[in-house]
Order: sequence, then C-alpha cells, then structure tokens
Amino acid sequence: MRLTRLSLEQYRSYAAAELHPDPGLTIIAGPNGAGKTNLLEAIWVAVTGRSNRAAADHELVRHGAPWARIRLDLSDEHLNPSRVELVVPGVEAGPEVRKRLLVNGLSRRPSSLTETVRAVLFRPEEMLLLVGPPSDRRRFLDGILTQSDRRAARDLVDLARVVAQRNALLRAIRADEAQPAQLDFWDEQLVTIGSRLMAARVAVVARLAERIGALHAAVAAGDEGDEGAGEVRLEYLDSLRDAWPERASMAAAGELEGPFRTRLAEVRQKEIWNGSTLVGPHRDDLRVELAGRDVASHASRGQQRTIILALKLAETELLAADRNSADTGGADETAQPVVLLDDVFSELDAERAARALELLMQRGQVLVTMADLSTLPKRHRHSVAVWQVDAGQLRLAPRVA
Amino acid sequence: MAGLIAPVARLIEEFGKLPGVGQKTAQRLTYHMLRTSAEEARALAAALVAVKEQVGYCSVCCNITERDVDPCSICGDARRDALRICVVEEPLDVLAIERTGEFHGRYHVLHGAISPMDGIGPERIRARELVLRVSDQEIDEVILATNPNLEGEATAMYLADLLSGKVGSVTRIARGLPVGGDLEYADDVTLIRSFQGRRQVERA
Ligand SMILES: [Zn+2]
Repeated sequence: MRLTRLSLEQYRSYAAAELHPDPGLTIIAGPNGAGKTNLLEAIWVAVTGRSNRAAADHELVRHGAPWARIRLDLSDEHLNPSRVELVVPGVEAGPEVRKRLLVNGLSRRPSSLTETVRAVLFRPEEMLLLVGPPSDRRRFLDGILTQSDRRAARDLVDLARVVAQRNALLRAIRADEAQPAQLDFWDEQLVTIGSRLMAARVAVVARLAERIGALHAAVAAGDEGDEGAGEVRLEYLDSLRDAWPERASMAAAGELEGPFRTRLAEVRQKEIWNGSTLVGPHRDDLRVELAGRDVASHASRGQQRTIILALKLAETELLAADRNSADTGGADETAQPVVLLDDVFSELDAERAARALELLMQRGQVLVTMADLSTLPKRHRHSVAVWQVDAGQLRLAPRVA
Repeated sequence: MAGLIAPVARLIEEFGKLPGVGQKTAQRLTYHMLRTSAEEARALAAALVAVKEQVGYCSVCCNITERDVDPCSICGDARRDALRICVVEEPLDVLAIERTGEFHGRYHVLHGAISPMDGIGPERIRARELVLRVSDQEIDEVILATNPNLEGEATAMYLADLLSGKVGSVTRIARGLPVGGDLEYADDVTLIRSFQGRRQVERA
C-alpha cells in the first residue's frame, strides 16, 4: 500500500491541508513549531488509532472546531484505491462520543487498520532509546506488536488496566480497606495476559535479532575505524528472574504462567508494602549488547545511533514481512510500511543520514520532516518533492532545478 | 465567569456538571432555557425534582422503581419466572435485556462493578442484597450479566464465589459481546446470542 494523499480538516493547526506524497521520498520542510510533526502524527493516528503525543483525542481537533477529519488515500500495486477516514470529536462532544474510522466508507474499529496499511514512526527522542529508561524500549517493542499482533495489541490495553486496578487494590489492602483474597482475580488476569505479552515480546525480539546483524553492518558500512565492528545481541530481560524457564522454550505463553505465579507469590508482601505491581511485562526491558558489552554504558554515541538505526530498519522489515504471505519471501512492495521520520536527520552526521535514508527507502515509502533542508543528504536535495509548512498552510514548494 | 449575571452563571455551572456536557454546550443549553417559556422551564424543573423524589429502589431487585411501586413492576409480575435471576450492573442493562424478550426471569441490579481504581470494592455494590435474596428463596439459576470488561469479569467472579452452593447453578453470559463493551450498547441479536450461549461458571 502506498499513501497517495493525506487530507486534513480542522486538524490541530490546520483548517484544511492536503499532501500528495511521492511513492519514494517526500520532504516536509518548515520552521520549528510550524506544524510539520502534526502531519506525521495525523498519518500515525489514522493508521494506529492513537496519537503518540496527545493525551486525549480531542487535542487533535483544531481549537473551536466540533471535529477533525483525517483522510488517507492509498493505492495497492494494481493501483486499486482505498480510502481511510478518521473523524475525531472535539472537546465539546463529551467523553461518550467516540472517534469513527471508515475504510472505503465502511465503519471499522479505530485500531484495526493494520491490515490495510502500517506505519513506522521514528522520532528524535528515539535517538536516546538505548540509554533512556526501560519504558522507552518497551514502547519500541510494543509499537511493533500493536501493528503486527492483534491479540497483543488488545492485551497491552488490558494489561495497563489490570496493573492500574491491581495497584489500587494493593494500596487498599495496605490501608486495611480490602482483603488480600480480592487479589485473586487480578492476579489471574495479570498472569494470563502478562504471560501472553511476554511471549509475544520475546518472539518480536527473536525476529529483530534475526535481522539486526545484517542491518547493523549495512548502516555501519563506511564508519571510521572499528566503530561499527562487533556483533549486536538482543536479549529480553524479564521480571520473572530465576523463575523464567529455559531460553529455548520461552516463547510459549503457557509455560510462563506457572513461573509467573510463583514469582508473584514471592513478592506479594513487598507488593503490598509498595502498593504497586512488581512483576509483569510492564517491568521488563530489552538489553542490547555490542561485542559482548552493554551498549547503554559501553558504546559511543555514534555506535548507539548506528544500532538504533538498525533497530528501526529491522522494525520496518518486520512490519512488512508480517503482511507478506510467508512464501513470497520479502520484497513485496505493497506490504511496505509508510516510514515517518520526524526530524531525525538533524541528529545524525551526513554520512550516516544518507545511508539510513537509502536503506529506509528500500523498505518503505518515506516521509521526512526537517527544519533545515541542508540536513537532507546531498544526492536527494534537488530530486525530491518538498512540501513547505508555514503558519498552518501546506504547499508544494517549487522544485529546485 | 466575568460579565455573566449570577443566575445565568449558576445554570451554566449546573449543566456543565452533567456527563458529556462541556462548557460550550452548557452555555447553549442555558441560553436555550432563557428563550423558552416560564411554563416549559417549570416543567423541566419539576421533572428533575420528581426523578429524585418519586423514584426509589425496589426492595427485592434494587432496580429503580416508582416510589409507591415496591416491589417493582418486574418483581411484582407473577407471570415471570421466579426461579431465575439475571444480575446486571445498571438499570439501563435491564432495559437492554428486556428489549430482547429473551429473558423471562427477574433481575438484580448491582449499581456498579468492582473497580479498585475508583474505590469500588465488593461492599460498594449491592451484592449482600443478592445473597440475602437467594438464601430466602429457592433459586435455580443466577445469570451473571455484568459487562464483558475487566471490571465486569471481576464482579462476576466475586459473585460466583459468593453464590456458590447457595443456588442451583451460576452461569455467565457468553463473550459474544464486543470486547470491552457495555451491555447497554450491544445490539439485540448479539445480546440474545450471548444469553443463549451462557455457561456454568467454572470455579478454581
Ligand atoms: Zn424489583
């Protein structure tokens, strides 16, 4: 699927706007704060059903407007068009009015789009993925799960609720306002949903690990000295600790339930003291090693960026691969995701930026925002369509000859 | 609010407390009230007061009922199957199930679901009333028709434990309902299906 048009009405800073992305590379340029990121966010919201930035949906609606509309026009390899429309109610509508998703005019659940089109979002904050808190790395893994595993996507929503309910109950027990036996139901939910999610995450890590070596080498090619040398290893760090079963069998959710219960029993008293759930997918992490050493503490900034780019490339490949029937093997370009790069080139040196862009363009349709066109790798500077954003207006900039 | 005379500001504030009503809607409603006749305004005020003064709770099923009709019209209807009780979270759920015509027994309304986050523990829903009710009379089946979300399930499991051994059987409606959805929004066909597919609750 290819994005052929993005149209917005009453969305954030835009009264109305229209963008016709190139099949290959599209640049969205404009000063900081002009609303470039809003365009990528709109595509992301339409595809995943959720904003990566807004706490509440109504924040997406232009001030004073009753609703916002995002429309994506897509086209498959036979040029069959499809149309995705998301209508987001404004703050006046109240909490009972939900957003509506239409695919070719038919109502769908706003999260079930991932079989039509998928997206990879790469934000400048992710350049800190390896040194940031574990929640950043969980979010990275969950971003892939949300689009590639329907069950896991639902489990993630449920888990957040189970943990919140369970924490509230733990605090009530600590205050002697509830009985420990009331935990039984929530424990069972935590174990069932949590085991499924851990297994799903472990599977994603394994699939990333299959790809990371080649991708890391591709991004590192041309790095000075031995900056890019060494093998990248990914490991899922679980909160079950010693209770975690043998590595070889850990992908099966059923096998995790027993150890999960055991661990939960061990920490019960501590959980009540803390008033929080100490075991589960919400406490896990992804460990990344380069040449046998933890990258968070031992890799240079350059090495970390190379690995992060490789991880995002692996994510892009994973989302594409999932939609291919297993035997077509790889390069079915209709399965390619839309890759949204939010001002990431300013974080990279010219060499690495050029290589990363090249590799991403081989794997998806790329849309890039940038404040400064000079951060665009040279060879693309005169050949691509540049859309200019200014004061809520979006227009195609005249092509530089 | 600056520039607003007190009675207008007060009405806007009161409307604004209603669920789903934002500041702007509250203002629109208030100016609408200013334009209507005094008679209409009085009729609305009377209806608001009446809903509090003339509506009470049925002493049998805890559903809302007119103050002088107790037991409620369903509990008082001798043609209904007295051996079956359907447990729901809210009065609106009773309406949704009645609309299907699928259930001919009686109800029990909990007025909520267990939700530690909201400070609602088992003692805050009308569970005790249900236990008293089933120990007073012979009951064949209690159907747990709480919402198919986490809080509804937590409530159903809690009640299943509580009722165990006290009634013929405890069943849970099938999960044909939209996940995370509310009973009151389910369409009739889905609701009928989930009733027909109800199963005995397995207890650990
Ligand atoms: Zn009654």
